[in-house]
Amino acid sequence: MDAAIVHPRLAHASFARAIRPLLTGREKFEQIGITLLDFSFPYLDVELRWHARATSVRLRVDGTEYPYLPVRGWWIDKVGAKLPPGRSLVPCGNGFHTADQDGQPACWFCFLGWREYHDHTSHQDMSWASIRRDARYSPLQLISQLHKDLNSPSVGVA
Amino acid sequence: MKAVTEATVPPQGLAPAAAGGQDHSNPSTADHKYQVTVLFDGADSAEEFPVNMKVREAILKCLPPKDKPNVADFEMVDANIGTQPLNADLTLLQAGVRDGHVLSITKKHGGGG
Repeated sequence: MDAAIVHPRLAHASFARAIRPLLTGREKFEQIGITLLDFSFPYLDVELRWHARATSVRLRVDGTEYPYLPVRGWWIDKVGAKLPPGRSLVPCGNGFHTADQDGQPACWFCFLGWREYHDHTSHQDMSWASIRRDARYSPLQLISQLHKDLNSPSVGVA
Repeated sequence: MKAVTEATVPPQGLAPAAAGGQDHSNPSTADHKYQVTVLFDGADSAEEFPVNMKVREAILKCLPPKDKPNVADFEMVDANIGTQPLNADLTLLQAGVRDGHVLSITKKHGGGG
């Protein structure tokens, strides 16, 4: 096992508690376009309806080290492999980035509360520690925000 | 998504009763309250909103105190209607909200900072 900051059982319990409304009320989330696929800590897999493209896209949320560190997230295909940009399968624009800070192809979410946002050199003025107790940045709200913005007319495909 | 027909959702800005007379097919009396589910800040909650409450007021009711001065930064989507945010200036009745609908509240501009 890799060294952990948060004991995996504590991170598991914290993450599971944070996503409990989805685990216990999945039909409500399905109605807004968020479908629970699987939860096996540390990964939560959901499918987001992408109305503008008449399709959907799968999202993996990684709760390792949660809540000491923010969740990570990335797009996946049907077998769980990471989806890279360049195949016209992932969103781009409006915070959906397709290159990392070194310019390499990589999908990440430029949204407050995601690990990749806080790790970015441009976002060192806002610490995760200062907002992690705010429900606005709970995993389910992050997913809801991502889903809503995914369906914004200004989001393209990469 | 549940299919929504013209019969169940009025045109934007036009209440069912606006074209003439009381609409008895749908609760539209001023004292009726829509019973809906609101998904916000990682939780789902059962809420009751008066049919003539404006969308903006419904959002305001759900916000924690620290966010109430910034209600314009938030928007509400009715999943039973579509994916685009409801017009904050309409009443819930005018916007097409009905009993049993699922509403979500998010920030207007979530990403890109």
